[in-house]
Amino acid sequence: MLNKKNIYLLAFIIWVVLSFSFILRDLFYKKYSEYYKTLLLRNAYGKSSYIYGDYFFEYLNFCKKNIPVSATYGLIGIESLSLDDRRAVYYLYPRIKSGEGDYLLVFDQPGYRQDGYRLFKEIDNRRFILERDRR
Amino acid sequence: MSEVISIIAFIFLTTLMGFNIIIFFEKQNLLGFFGNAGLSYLFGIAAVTIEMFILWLLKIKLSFLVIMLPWCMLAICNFRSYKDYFKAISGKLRIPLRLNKAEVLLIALIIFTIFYTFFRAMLKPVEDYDDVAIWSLKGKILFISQLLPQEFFYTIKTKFHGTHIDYPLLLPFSEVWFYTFMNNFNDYLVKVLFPMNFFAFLLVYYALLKQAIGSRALSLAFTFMLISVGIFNKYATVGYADMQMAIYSSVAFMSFYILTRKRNFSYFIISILSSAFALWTKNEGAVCLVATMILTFIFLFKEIKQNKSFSNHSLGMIIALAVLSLVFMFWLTFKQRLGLQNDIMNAGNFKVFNVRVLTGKLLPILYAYQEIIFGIKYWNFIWVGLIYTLIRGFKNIFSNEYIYISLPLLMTMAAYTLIFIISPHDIKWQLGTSADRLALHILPVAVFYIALSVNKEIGQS
Repeated sequence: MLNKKNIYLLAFIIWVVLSFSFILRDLFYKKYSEYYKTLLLRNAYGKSSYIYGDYFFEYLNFCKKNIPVSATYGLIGIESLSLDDRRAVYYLYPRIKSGEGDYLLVFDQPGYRQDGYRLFKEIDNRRFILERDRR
Repeated sequence: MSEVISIIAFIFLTTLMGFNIIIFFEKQNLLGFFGNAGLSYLFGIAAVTIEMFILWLLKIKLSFLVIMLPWCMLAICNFRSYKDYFKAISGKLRIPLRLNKAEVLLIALIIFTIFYTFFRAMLKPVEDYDDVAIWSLKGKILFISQLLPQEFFYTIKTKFHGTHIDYPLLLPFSEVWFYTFMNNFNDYLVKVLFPMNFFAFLLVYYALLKQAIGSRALSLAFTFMLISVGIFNKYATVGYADMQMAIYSSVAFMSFYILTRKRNFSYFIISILSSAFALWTKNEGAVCLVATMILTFIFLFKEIKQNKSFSNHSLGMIIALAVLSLVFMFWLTFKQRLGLQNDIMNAGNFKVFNVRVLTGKLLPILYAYQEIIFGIKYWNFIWVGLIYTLIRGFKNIFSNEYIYISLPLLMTMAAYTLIFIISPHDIKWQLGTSADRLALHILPVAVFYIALSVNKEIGQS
């Protein structure tokens, strides 16, 4: 019989069904299950690499390893205030991003050069670090 | 394995800190063992960050021992109260509980949701936009560089664009507390803070719901409904402050509501402490604090009108209001003295407020609201349910029974709408980035309102 209690019970059942259908849709239709599986199989470094993008994360680690912690840097090839830019700033701290810093971190800009800077280190011709020329 | 033990120790210690606060006013075990455990964690994490903030302002190095010292002293002072409390609850804790099939099913649904939330949160490091741009970045700067207040604010203001110098520091300091406890910077494990807040809150939410409506099954059902809302659940897995904002503001409002029904002063203390913690979580916490103060005024006015005299509790409430106002004034003065003005939102925004601006922005705002209301994918049909409840019980919205929960709901919605109107940002961008989060802040109170209404209707039928 459809009394108030049963109507609310029905609404609750619909709620539960919808909740689980959204979870299942995320897992299987949107393929989050594969995303979760990939993350589960990776170690901490691998997880960050997967989330940041392997290509980008390799470069960030290269920069972290090669520029001193007290240095300032500029980012070339990464849109300012984009998620990648924010992640780079967070990841590279205590190195601080500054318009034209001690180093220019050039990402995905083949052959990029700037006056006053010389090539310091490179992974390949698309990802490298320029250092301020002090001569 | 050692990391899991460390995390458990962190949670236990933080809960113990909070327990040292709530034991002052929660001697009757109103929220039950689990409710108090949840509340202890929520109050513990907020209180320890305030302590760290004060130590930081005093330029005292934030070491584990220094942070723990006041809590150890407090624990020694409270030792007798511990004994009394556990003696009082020992007879009431019955495990296994006598549950019917529906309740077992509901608990299973809740446990599944909790595990799924923890799973998703712990799978990824700190990585979302506001997380790396604001909250965790500040936590990392505070922990790694240990900058003094002036240096910190100067660095944030000049070296990091868009990190909002004026934002309260509960979340960054709770991350610093975690790193200090672990003695290590670890932006994977620190993610445990977010589902943990969610878990502690659902214990408190259930306890408060049960206090308000009495039915265990209904309280479990509405707790599940809240935590299964897609957006609410998502914010328990990312490092934003909005979940905590929703938590403290809803605990403040729900406790206040129960105070008006049960006339127990302990709920008032829970309410004002929560509203102060909301202020310490996000700037929007000011709305919660002011709303709590307005509710207190209304309550006091009615009380005095009815009794024609001041009771001890009325006096206590007036003192609490004065303290709350002082805290608010201190925070505003502190921000003003250090020049911690919001780069976008400030008093100057009201100068450009006119009818043309209002009408130009109202349509996009209403459009964004309808997107949330009918955004079943993210919100299930909670807002449709709230609107149905409000329309159906229209006459009762401002009745004695509902005013203390409908008023904060409406005040918060009005305040947030005003923020959208006066914001100098492009309105579509502003709504796109924050409308969902602002709706999240009032979500638990909205579910609470529906629960009260449903409970009443079922009771009547």
